[in-house]
Amino acid sequence: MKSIQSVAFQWVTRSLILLFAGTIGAGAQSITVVNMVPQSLSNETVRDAEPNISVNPASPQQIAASAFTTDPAASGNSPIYVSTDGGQTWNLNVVFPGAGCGSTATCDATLRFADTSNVLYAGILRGDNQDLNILRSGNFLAPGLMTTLVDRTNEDQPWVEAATAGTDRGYVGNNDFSLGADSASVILSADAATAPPPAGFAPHGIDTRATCHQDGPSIRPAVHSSGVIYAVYFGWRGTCSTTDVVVARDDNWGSGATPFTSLLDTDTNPGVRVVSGVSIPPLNATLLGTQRVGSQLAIAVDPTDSQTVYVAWADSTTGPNYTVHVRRSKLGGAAGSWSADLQTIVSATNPGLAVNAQGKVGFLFQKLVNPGSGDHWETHLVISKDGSFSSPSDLVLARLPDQNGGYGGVNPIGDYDNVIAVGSDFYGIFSGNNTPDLANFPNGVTYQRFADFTSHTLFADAGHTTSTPVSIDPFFFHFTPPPALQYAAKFVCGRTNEEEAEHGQGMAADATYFTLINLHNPGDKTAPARMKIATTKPNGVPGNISPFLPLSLNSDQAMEVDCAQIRKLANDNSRFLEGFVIVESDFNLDDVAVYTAGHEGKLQTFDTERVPERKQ
Amino acid sequence: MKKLLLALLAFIPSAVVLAAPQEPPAGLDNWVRQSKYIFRGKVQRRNASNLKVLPPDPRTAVVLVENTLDAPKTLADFTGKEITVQLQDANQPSAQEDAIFFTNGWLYGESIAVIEVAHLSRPGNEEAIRRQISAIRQKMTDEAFQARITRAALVVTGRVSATVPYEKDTRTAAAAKAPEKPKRVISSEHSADWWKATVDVNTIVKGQSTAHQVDVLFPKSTDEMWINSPKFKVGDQGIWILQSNQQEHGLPFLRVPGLTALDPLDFRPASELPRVRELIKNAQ
Repeated sequence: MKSIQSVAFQWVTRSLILLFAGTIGAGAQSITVVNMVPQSLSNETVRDAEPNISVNPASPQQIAASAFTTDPAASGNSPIYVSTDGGQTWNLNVVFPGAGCGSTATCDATLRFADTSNVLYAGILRGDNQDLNILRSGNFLAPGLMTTLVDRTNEDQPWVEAATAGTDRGYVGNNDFSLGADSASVILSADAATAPPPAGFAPHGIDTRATCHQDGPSIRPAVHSSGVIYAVYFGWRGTCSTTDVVVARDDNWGSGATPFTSLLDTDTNPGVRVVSGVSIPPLNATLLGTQRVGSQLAIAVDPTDSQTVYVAWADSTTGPNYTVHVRRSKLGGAAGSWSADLQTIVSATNPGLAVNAQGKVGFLFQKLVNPGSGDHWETHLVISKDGSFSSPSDLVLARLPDQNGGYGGVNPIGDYDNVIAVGSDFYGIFSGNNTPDLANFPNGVTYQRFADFTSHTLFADAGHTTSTPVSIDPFFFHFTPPPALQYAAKFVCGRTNEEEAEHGQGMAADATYFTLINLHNPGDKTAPARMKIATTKPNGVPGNISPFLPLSLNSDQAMEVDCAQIRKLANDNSRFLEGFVIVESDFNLDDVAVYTAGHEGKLQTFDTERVPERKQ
Repeated sequence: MKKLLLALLAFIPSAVVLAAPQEPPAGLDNWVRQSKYIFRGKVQRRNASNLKVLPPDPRTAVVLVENTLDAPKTLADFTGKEITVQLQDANQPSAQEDAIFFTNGWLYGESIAVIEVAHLSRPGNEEAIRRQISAIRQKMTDEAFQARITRAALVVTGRVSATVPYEKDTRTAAAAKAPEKPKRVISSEHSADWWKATVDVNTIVKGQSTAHQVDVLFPKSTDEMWINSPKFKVGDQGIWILQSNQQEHGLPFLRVPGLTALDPLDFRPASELPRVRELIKNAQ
């Protein structure tokens, strides 16, 4: 039989749950945007475009990135961007051989860390002689150039992907004119980390159909940890004014004699045509503002399912109609398995795709808009929770003027940007006008270089005495989507004010209250989760919210959180404290709250509540 | 004694005590050629770093830049600021020692880290050193220019009288004595978009030509691969330093036979003619 106080306790806790449940809202998502140009380069005005990024999966605080950035000391070599604090701050490290493209930078460049080896790989067109180089480094902060593994001529737009499966596997999509008319190629290695140059890297043509006289410049691989490797390319047809978008696949790391032939189309050729004969503009056509377009392509495979693959490409021949499409196959890219368009974005370019550890899809693109104040580039990150894009969230990362400072070329923001997923998180990079104006960054931004956001002026010095003209800079972003499930458990801890309680005032009846939150992982996989405390205050005043504390529960593991831990996480030692313990996870958990209240050291009430999950 | 000192210097290339400031110290020419950033600085802290990304170690020192002697224009001015130097020798220079550092860039963040090529201890007459460095830099500039001239097939002065897209120049086929095998057409974002500028020749400075006009191929593309190459328009006047059948820039499949001026050094104002003539004479 429950006492009066017990009934009162339940009323208090349940009422408070009802009262405050609506104010907690959906779980917080975290978005960070950082202008990557280091403070010591506050005087730089070059075009830091066509960026690419890689996060070290073995140590996600380590991030490397590339762009058309010059070595300020004019060494004749080119730098990459490096961060060891998860992208909050950036340095340049001069590691790419050669310079001479744009403002004495490298030409096309991409880079990737393998999964666990800490080795960074890069594919570049050298700035001095335009040779394709494949490079590696075991320490991306070390001085000196990366080791050159491969040096080849007559190849274009290297795009690197890497994975670790016993050994490091490297895949470099590229347009290899030496192959003849079927120029789409992947240079691959099964032992990229340790073997001496060329470390097993060898080229493999992946197109077998008739082309106009070549394939398009963009060839993009995607790697699944099971050894399923995809590659997407533009198979140019007719007079090179139409294209097929073709997906090829290999089911064993590309290790056979004829890699990328696992997927046959209805014409029995390897590589399935996602679309056929769509119109494309001539390369270098500036259809969108000052930006050229013509070969925009992306691919991503779901890390939770090797047979779920996404492709994005752009087609059509006029600015208003130039459209980025996104499609999906859930059957390994097989003929007939491709969806209709899941996304169509007009007047857009530079698609990027990534799928996180929970199967959420990140879709990055840059869209030309004219908000009434001239052309602007809007950079969007669209997140689909289930890959259907039925009700995606759309984050505008930047809305930057299509104005390019001293750069007068046709490709101010570059032929690509990049988004990747590591664990639950999405990381990415894009380039654009660097005017310091918070109105240009709807989700905020941090600049390292000296900038005045009031006068919208860049400066070369800390004292803001010498202004720096605007130019094109790279911007890093990091997005942590909220976990799929949220559990909000009410807690009541401590002793009420006796005098207030006697007069029917205060927050609860006179007693000492205790709460214990029990968490259990009923699944068969480890469940990452995070927890925060939202406290309440009297008189309708919102309380404080603690930072998230990361948690992890192995299969069938359980844990408890008591009042002492709640106070510690909330950083609040009030005599009486109440609020919510909020646990978020992508995994189903058992969340049970145990409430007791006592008076003069004796138990008066006892109750338990099973906390329901909320999808977010 | 001086012989002994010089002998010691030969074995300690990274640390030199300047004996006679008015004369270039031994090794200076090499150090200047090998380094991009030269400054006078005082070691503030050894086994230290002022970049968060760079953990201190026995070879890193924080150095106050007291004077910049030579630096690329693109490098910010660090005079009066502390930077991190990775020393050649962990034992020198010592704390509070004043030296001229010959360095190259490494990391650029909230400050910079540079790698020492060599240093001059107790540098003495800094102004004399600065002049010597400047002279070596000028010599390097001349050498780079001379290299372009030396490898040039033709050097002429003149004026552009016409420009036309290379592929639309009907004279190309008509003038061809022996038809070449048609070159495979490649489309790339890095295509040069070759144009032909007709230069009315005033003077032949180097090479042999009886023609009053020469055709100079130039990339009209503003792609990053070509944006630095000179673009010509009717009325341009100056000195063309012309390379034959360029084998130096762009994907080989995108190259074309003919005379080109692809390096910014290859088209100079007419006022530089005396310098060009002198460099040609020196080369001979």
